[in-house]
Formats: sequence, C-alpha cells, structure tokens
Amino acid sequence: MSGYQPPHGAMAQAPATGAPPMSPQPMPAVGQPPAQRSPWQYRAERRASFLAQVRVEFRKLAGTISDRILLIIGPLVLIGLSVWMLSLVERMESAADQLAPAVWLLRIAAIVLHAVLIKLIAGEWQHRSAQPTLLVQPSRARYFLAQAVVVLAVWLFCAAAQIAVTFIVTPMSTAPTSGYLLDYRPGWVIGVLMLGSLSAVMAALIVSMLIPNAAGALAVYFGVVPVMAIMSGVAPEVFVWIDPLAPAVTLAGLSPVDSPAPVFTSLALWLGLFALSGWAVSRRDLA
Amino acid sequence: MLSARELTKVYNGRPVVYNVSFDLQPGTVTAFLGPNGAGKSTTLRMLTGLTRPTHGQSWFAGKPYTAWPNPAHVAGVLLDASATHPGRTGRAHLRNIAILAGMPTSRVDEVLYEVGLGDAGGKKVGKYSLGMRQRLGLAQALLTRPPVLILDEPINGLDPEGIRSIRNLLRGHAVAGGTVLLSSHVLSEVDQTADRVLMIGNGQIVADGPLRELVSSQQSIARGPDTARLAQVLQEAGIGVQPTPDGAVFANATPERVSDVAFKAGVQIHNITEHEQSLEEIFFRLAGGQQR
Repeated sequence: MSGYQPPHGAMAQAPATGAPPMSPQPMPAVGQPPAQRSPWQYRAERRASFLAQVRVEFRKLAGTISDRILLIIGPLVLIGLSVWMLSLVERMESAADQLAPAVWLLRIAAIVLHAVLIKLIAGEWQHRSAQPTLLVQPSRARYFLAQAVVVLAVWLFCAAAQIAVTFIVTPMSTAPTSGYLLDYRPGWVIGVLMLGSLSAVMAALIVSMLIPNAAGALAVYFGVVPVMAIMSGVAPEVFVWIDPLAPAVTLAGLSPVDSPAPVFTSLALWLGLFALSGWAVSRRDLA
Repeated sequence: MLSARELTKVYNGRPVVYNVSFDLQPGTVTAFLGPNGAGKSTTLRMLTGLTRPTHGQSWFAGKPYTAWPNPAHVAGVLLDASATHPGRTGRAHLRNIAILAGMPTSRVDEVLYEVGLGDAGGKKVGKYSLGMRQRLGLAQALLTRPPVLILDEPINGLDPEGIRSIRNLLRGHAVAGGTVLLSSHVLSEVDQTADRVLMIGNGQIVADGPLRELVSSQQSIARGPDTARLAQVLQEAGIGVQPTPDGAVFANATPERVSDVAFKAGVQIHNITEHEQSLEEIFFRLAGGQQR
C-alpha cells in the first residue's frame, strides 16, 4: 500500500485489464499505528491551512455569475442609497438626530450584499455542495469559521462604506442653521455604525443558517427586512424590543424607550436565534 | 485498510442500519449490494463522518475518517454526484476541492481529462448530464490519488463506454493495491468488477462472500433429447423438477447431482448449467424474513 499510485488516465485510456503499476503493500491493522508511513499518510496527516479554507469560501462567494453580478451591484446600492438618503434628509438640531438617517439606513442599505452571503451559506446546504467540502475537510467548526471570516469581511466592508458615506455626506446636507455635530464624536458615530452593521449582517446570517434553501432564505430575508424597516417607523415603542438593531439604536440615543431593557430583550432574542441556527447547522444531516 | 464495527444508525426510533461490520483489504474491489432503502448510503455516510453513527465505529488505516487531518488523501469518496453547486463550473468545483486537499490546482485539468471531462471543465455543473456529474464526482474522488475509493452507485447514468471505463478503473485501482468499496442496487453492475460482495438488506449485512457463492442457487437447468424422461428420473431420485418454457428441465439440485442421476439412469444431457439467482431472488432468500 505504501507508495500506492493509481493508474493515470484510467478512464480516458480504459486499459483492458487494469495493469498494475505497483504492487500492493501490507496495511496496518485496525487501531494500530503503522510501522512505516507511506507517502499518502504523510499527505493525509498534513491539514490544509485555515487560510486555504477561507480562500475557498471567498471563491465560493463569487462562484457563480449571479454572485458576481450581486457583488458588483451590492456596493453600488449600499453607497448610492446611503448618499441619496443622507443628502435628502434635512439635519436636525442634536447629534443623535443627525445620525438617525444613517442608523435607519443600516436596516436596508446592505441588503444586496447580505443576499450574496445568504446565497453562499444557504446555497451550500440547498445544493448539498457542503457535502464535498466536508468530505475533504470534515471539521464543521473549521468550515463555519471560514464562512464566518467571509461574513466578517462583508460586515467590515459594509460598515466602512457606511461610516465613510456618513462622514462625507452628512456635513454637506446639514442645514447651515443647525451646525454639523458628528465630527465632535467620531468614535461614537463609528461605534454605532459598526454595531448596527454587525447586527444587520447577523440577522442575515441567522436566516441563511436556519433555512437551508437559498431561494427560501432570500424570500424570508427580503420579506423581513422591509417589514422591520416599516415597523421601526410605525411602531417604534413596540418594535424596539425585538429589533436586531436595538443595541445600535440605543447607543445612538434614538431608542423610543427610555431604558436599556429593549437592548437585553433584543440581544436575548437574536443571540438565542444565532445559537439555535448554529445548533441546527451542526446537527444538519448531509443526506 | 477499511474496517467497520457494529455500525448502527437509528432515525426516530427505527434502525436504518444495524450492526454492520466488515474489513476490507488492499487490492480488492468490494461491492456493497442492496435494494434501494437498504441502508447502503447511510452506511457509507457513517464511514465518512457525514452522518454520526448511533453506535459503532469505522477506521481507515487505523483511524476514523474524520480523525485524519486531510482525509481526502486516505479515501476518495463519491456519495452523491448531484451534490455540487449547479452555478459553478466543474473546474471551479474541483479547484476548490484541490485547495482544501492541499493539491496543486494543475492536478484539476489532469483528473478532468482522466474521467473524460477534459472539454467540459468550463461548463456549469447545472448543464452537465447525469453521466457527466458522475464523472465529475469520480474526478473529485480521484483528485488526490487516494488508496481507498468509496463510490455510491458510480455507474448510475453512465453510457456503456463509461461503465466499461469505470470497471477498468476500479479493477486497475485494486490491482495497483488500492481498496475499493462501491455500492449498487443492480447485481449486473458489479458482477464483472467485484471480488467480494457485502449484501445489505433491511439495514443488516445478510451475506458476505465471493459473488459466485452468493448467486449460486443449488439449482440447475438441464437440456437433453428426452426432457420428459430426464424429468422422470430426477423425480425418482427425489429431486424436484419443473419444465421451463423453452423445453428444458429446471431441477432443485446442483449440476453435479443432476448429471450423476442422469448418467446412472442412462439419460442423455446435452447441456446443463447452474441457475444463477438474480439479486431480487437472493434478497428474497436472505433478507425476506428479516423485516423489522
């Protein structure tokens, strides 16, 4: 067995008898360490790096034509929508009011980029393409971590874009009588936008992990996001208790409830859903 | 090389695989035969860590599949040819696998050529025929040149040339010292390839041995100039007989015994063959009474 090399071009050349290029070698018995390691054993004992796994997940992110189209459209939608909305809204007196449009944009601006993530994660289960991945690299924890790195990268991109647009467009659209206030507290603005962007991407991640079907997950996500955006305007006192963006909204000083309690209920709900989705994925059968 | 002990999987209180044990040696092709729903795929998924066994364990060269840091170099596995994203190209799919397995991506084009997909690597998998998907799955299994091949119904959807190529490939792999386990629900798919058959029915191994022994029925079909006389002498010897539609005699005895009886009675036989059981008959005989 050591030094085993199967015949090259076996199918293409179809040898009549399958001539042996090498002789079989004895194999170690079950549960016993091999006396002498063969070349395939050396290769089998060397795990590919985590970076290689991350690279594969990034390749999958842009693996199809529709993925590539969405990856081009996504940043344009994010930046275009943010610039358009922020330049339309007239600035108010307080810093919180000046930040409010940017916080609201966190709910919808990255929707296309989130769709790419949903396609990647839910699509892997829908098309069972997670199976060949896990056959080659069986650790589900590593697989999820590699996907988490992709999610992290998308989150950082979205957050950076939204922070940049907020700091560039808001001063231009602020009414001369109000005075631009966000420059006085840049750390706070960045914190709110990073936290809000993270909450939004986590909501997309949870949907993609809970629904192992890309079309179904996208339908749910595209249904839930507008409903949440409308609810946050129509019934903010009710919605804030389950709003995934409640921590960011509260940090921005925009919470309709004068208490940190909605932050705790929101965190409990969404962290609970995240734990549930992680459990569901870890137990999911690759039939 | 590959061993399984008491592999058991229970879904909703119902065992779909029960107490499956076997050892596979290098240099052999073993067919894992059973009807649809017998537990073949579940067993193969348990071997490769995709499904957790309720009980039991398996080892590849002394370690469970998932305990190998880079198991693609231990076993090439084809479980489901359709488990590939239809929007990606065959080449892109294999490149991802090559990166994960630590193989140079130049190996991808080599293996695509080996399985006869040299010109189709740039096509989307969604546009592949079933046979092409099978070939792509095989390409993945062969990518690392592993010593073990585990293939679930690899011949499904292949044309006769493809089937012949697969047979040659598997025999060549075994002759080179590799270990092959292939599942099928069609006996004729494996009869020219397998050295050994593991037969599973209702989730349990019901037979294990060389194919010849399994299909042997202890029954014969004899032809001669006077089949009526032949049937009479066989009946007189206590052998149950039945006429066949084409004028032969079907006897419940081995060809040797039928031949001896006919010779002693002076009855001529022109042709006598052992009746080989079909897979369905074998299952009926071996697994028929084991419904759980």
